[in-house]
Amino acid sequence: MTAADLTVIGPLLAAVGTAIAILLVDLIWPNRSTMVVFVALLGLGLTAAVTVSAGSLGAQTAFDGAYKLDALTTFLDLLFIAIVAMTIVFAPDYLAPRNLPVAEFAIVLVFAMCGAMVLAASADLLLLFLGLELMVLPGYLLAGYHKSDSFSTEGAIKYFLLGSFSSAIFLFGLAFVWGLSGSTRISDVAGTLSQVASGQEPFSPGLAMGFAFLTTGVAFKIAAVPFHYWTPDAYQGSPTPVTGYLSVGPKIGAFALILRLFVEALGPLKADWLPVVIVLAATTMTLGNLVALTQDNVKRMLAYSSIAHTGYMLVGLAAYAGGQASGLEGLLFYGAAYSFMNLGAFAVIAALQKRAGVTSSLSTFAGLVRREPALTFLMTLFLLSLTGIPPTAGFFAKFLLIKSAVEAGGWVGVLAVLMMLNAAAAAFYYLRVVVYMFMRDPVSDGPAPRHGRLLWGGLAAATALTIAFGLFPGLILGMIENAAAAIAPAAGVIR
Amino acid sequence: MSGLDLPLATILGATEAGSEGAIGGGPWDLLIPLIIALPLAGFLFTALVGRRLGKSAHLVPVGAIGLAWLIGMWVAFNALGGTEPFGEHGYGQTIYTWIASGAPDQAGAFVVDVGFFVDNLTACLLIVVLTIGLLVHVYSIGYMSHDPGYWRFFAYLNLFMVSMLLLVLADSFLVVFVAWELVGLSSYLLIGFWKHKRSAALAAKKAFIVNRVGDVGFALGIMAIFVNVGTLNIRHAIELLTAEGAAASFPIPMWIVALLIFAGAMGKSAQFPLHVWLPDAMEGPTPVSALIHAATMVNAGVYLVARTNPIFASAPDVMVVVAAIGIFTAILAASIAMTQTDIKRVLAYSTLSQLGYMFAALGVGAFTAAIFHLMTHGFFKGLLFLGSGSVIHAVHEEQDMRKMGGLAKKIPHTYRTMLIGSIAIAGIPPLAGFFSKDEILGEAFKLHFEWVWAIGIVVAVMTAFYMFRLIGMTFWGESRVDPAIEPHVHESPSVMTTPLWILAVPTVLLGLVLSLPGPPLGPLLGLEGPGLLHHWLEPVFHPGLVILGHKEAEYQLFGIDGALIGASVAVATIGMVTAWRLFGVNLRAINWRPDPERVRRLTARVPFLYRASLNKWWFDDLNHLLFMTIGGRLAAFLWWFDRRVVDDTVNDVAATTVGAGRGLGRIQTGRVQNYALGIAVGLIVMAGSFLVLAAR
Amino acid sequence: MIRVFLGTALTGAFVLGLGLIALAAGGSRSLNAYLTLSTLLFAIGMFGFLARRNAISMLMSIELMLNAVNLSIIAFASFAADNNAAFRAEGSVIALMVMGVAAGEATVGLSIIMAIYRNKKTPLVDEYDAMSQ
Repeated sequence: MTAADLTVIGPLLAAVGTAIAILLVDLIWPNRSTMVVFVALLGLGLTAAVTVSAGSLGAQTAFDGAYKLDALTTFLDLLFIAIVAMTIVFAPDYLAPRNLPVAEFAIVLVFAMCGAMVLAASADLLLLFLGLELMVLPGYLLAGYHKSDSFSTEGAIKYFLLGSFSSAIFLFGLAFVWGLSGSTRISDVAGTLSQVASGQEPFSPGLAMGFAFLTTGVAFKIAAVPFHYWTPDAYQGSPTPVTGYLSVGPKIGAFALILRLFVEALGPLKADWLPVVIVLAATTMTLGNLVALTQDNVKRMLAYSSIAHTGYMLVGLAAYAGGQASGLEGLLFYGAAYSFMNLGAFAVIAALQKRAGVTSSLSTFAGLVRREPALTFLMTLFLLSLTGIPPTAGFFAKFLLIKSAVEAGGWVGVLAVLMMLNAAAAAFYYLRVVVYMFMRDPVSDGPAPRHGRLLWGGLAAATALTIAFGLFPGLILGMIENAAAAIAPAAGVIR
Repeated sequence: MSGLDLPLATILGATEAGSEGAIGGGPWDLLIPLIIALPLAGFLFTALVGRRLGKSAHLVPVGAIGLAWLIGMWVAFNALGGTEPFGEHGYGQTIYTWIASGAPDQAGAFVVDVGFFVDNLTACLLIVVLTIGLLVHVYSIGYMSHDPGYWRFFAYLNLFMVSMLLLVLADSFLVVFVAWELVGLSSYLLIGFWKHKRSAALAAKKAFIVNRVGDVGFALGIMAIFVNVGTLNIRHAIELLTAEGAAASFPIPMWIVALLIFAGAMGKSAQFPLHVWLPDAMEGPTPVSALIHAATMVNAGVYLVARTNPIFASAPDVMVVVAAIGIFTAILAASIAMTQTDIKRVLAYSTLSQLGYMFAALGVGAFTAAIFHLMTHGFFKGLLFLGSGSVIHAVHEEQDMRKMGGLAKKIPHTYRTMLIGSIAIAGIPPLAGFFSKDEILGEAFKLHFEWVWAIGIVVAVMTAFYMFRLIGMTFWGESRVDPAIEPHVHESPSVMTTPLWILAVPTVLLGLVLSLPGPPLGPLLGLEGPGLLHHWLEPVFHPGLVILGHKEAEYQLFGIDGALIGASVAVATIGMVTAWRLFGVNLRAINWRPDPERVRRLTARVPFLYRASLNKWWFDDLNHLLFMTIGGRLAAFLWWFDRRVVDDTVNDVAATTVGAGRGLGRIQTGRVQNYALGIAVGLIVMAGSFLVLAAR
Repeated sequence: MIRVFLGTALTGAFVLGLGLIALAAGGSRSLNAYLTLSTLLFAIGMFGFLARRNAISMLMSIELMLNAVNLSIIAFASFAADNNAAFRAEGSVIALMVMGVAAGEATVGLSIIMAIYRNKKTPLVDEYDAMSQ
């Protein structure tokens, strides 16, 4: 390890340092949740600063090329930091009334973020796997964070068992791809595979098996149909702030894995995995939306809708494989936009559940505008953005994906049409919540709980980003272009 | 990370030179957006914290509009004066590119810029919108002072100003459409401001729905334009649409484009048959009626047609339709205004009628005359509405003119300003209305739309009649005010009367100022050249006039033009004197008593016309008949058809969808083993497909 | 019934695996034999995961699957060409890492199983079905 390596892993070190700092603070001054949140935000801010400054030095590698810091890493790291910071800000209002400690929540969350950062930076298959496990293991714990609640633990055990199952499958595939291509370095794997693609080497059945296992493992992590079963149960059971995190953090992490693995390592064989991705995208968005139509629990509805959004993001991957590199930019933009609007929606649900015993069923939202006008308007905004109504971030994200898919043409173009149909169907269940909030008479008329300043701050940030990405997409399109260009140099200029 | 410093540059950076190659906007790039940003800030501030501000909630919104007014006037007069970078053809500024896919000017590119464009037409509108907006804001401080929703009212007013300013400043059809919907929304909010009042809520809904009809047309028109030329930038699109010989290659013919845009204009400017919402909109607070439903929003349609004048000029048949609908609305509304007894409704129908004049002017190709009338009408109708608000205020929220009378002495400021407004709208020289109305009628005649002129002359009689009927019933003669209220009748506070007097100034002078040094008075005074407004707007309307091929006829004060002026002044006087005869007058020299007996005899002589007018030509009944009775029958039939045929299909589709959802949801059994089995099966399918793919 | 089936499958797999190893030890050292064995082990693990209802047994099945992966990794490494020392070393490292991850997974898993056992008083996962559809 050299000093240069230290700069490259600087963001990671800062993140680990943040987690340890929270640990120490909680050790010395136990049960001071405000201080914990403050320290966590400070540490995350510092991590973001380190990430930006390390990223400004250009693409570099460390540890003999296993760890890579490029524009994609920087972009994803910043996204992870923002997601985790918002989750930590939203959590205390939900955790405190249920006597759940904030400090451990924050620590586990920041460690999960470290895993995601490793994942985003890996240029090595082994590191990819380690990062993935580091990211999902804390996720299992978070899902079961309310350990005296039977729903929370039930969601956690389903998530854990199926997650480990799929990890084993992923690892099996990884072993085969590694064994048959002869190296764990992603660039070497890509080199070997390009020989396969050009016909110099045979496409052996072992390699095909490895592909199948890898794809299955990854499809599980992003909750693509038919590997999505854990999502609704884990999301519904988890404490609401955790659900918010699970619906975006590990999902973006898994998409980072897809970008590193499928675009970089398996990129040369993209013609071979394209059909699989098309089928996955089509089934995922259709099933997610269809089942979401029938849900009466908003958390579960958003779980199914998150499956549908996974399907949309896969459209970007398909567009890339179909020859439109701008698909990756659409995917990254969608990921960023989806993160903030979805976190915002879950934050509103969490805020409503501040009084213990409030469920996330639709009836909770009946007549909400009279009790909580501000939260109602914010929720409406997030739901409109999830629907994809201009000028919100959700609209622009869908626009980018559909556009690149249409340009890719062929079956990917068909996918674009399917996506539009799906978005129309999705409007029904998103707007149903809006109708409940504005038109229905409230079921119970208890006084609205007071919400903390932190929560309002976090919601303001999520709102600002949801609107800003819709009105001024130029804000992050520059970063996204660079990020996409880091793994797909041919990425077309989108703007 | 070069990506990080990109965004700011993209937001604030690029400015685009105007069509005349002006270089850089300097301070204008900041000032023009500020005109919108200030009311926006006022709206956000008031919406967020206004509730806590109580009676001082007006400070920020009014201050914001005040500042915006200062900046707006500065911008407008620089634009009118032709200062660089505005030059002759205006200055366009791209704030940022919202959607940019593909390089501009390249086939298949879809670029949406958000930008502003200020030329002389925009400047004229800015003057009207901002000035009246500011005065209405000030007036509302007094008018709404006892309302519990004080802060909400100012928040909505600011929101309306934002939308209206965006509408006139935007340089892209898409942004205009957004603003179009936003003014509709804020109008809806303000009409229904007293939402506990059922009639107000219904009126708000009616306005919203009727406007939707027009909006659909406008939206389709915008799409048609995009299909034809592939851009949404207004100037660029018009240039491409009207390029020499381009029309043949368009998939959608020009007359359809023009008709669709006109449909949008009809909705917003309440032209027959979409006029029914405007009179009902009077349910809103009176300052709202003055600002939105007399002086600004209802002009949006006129502005839109004027802005896209080359498109209309390329579709001469549609121009005739515009003129016909305009002049028909004018006479229809004027005939209704003659018998209404609600003071605000008289003014509302009068607004419809005057808007009809403007469309008639647009239709005959007298674009400048239309904008001239838009400006003068904005001021005197704003004055009349605010005055009527002051009257209503004085007699304790009574709007029925039969319960007024003799108010002249009690509320002298209101009386005098309203009298000035009435003389102006009646078309008596030398007040503003005379110049603009005369120009419309004169142009119509000289451009060989004699029928428009003839109907217009009749409308002029009616206008003078109903306005002096209003003045007579309200201010002159015996008091018919409820004796309980009578002692409490009082003049409004100065915060309300000052705006009235300020508005009275342009009501008197604007026509003179804008028409000099041109006709009709210029030649008389030995001056030469076109009128000021003609001079300003010539570059804007030049393309349309070229396509139309209208030649500037020589102005003959002692020929045809003098005769036309004489005719219109004569008919205005006839209308005025008739109203005096019937409803009385209390001017210094003339003191006639009202003559209800004669009114009764006259109405008995034309019972049909009288009842028609009184019942607003049964339009509301017609709508009721159409949509409730016949529509109901039809609906009953359709319901049957629907249930038997359509519903089954639709229900089947919906049920299949939801059923599919439920069915698919059923695989979510809640049991881990079943899930794992699903994954295992998925894995096997995946492995199979990859093996097949590998074997290819 | 399931148990009988499971027992048969397991026994069969072991017999087959032992036979393959014997085949390998018998002289013709073959990578494919090891890979087949590891695949079989993996399949047995998967089968166990699908068939067992006890959360602990399912956890054990996952461990079995991970061990199958390790077997294939070590096999790949030891059958690599002698001049490819880096690849051989990599194999050992990956195997160690996988063991570490497996240990971490077991820890997290056991703690979650403990928590749900307290709530539901049963280790049988098919009774954890409060949430469905």
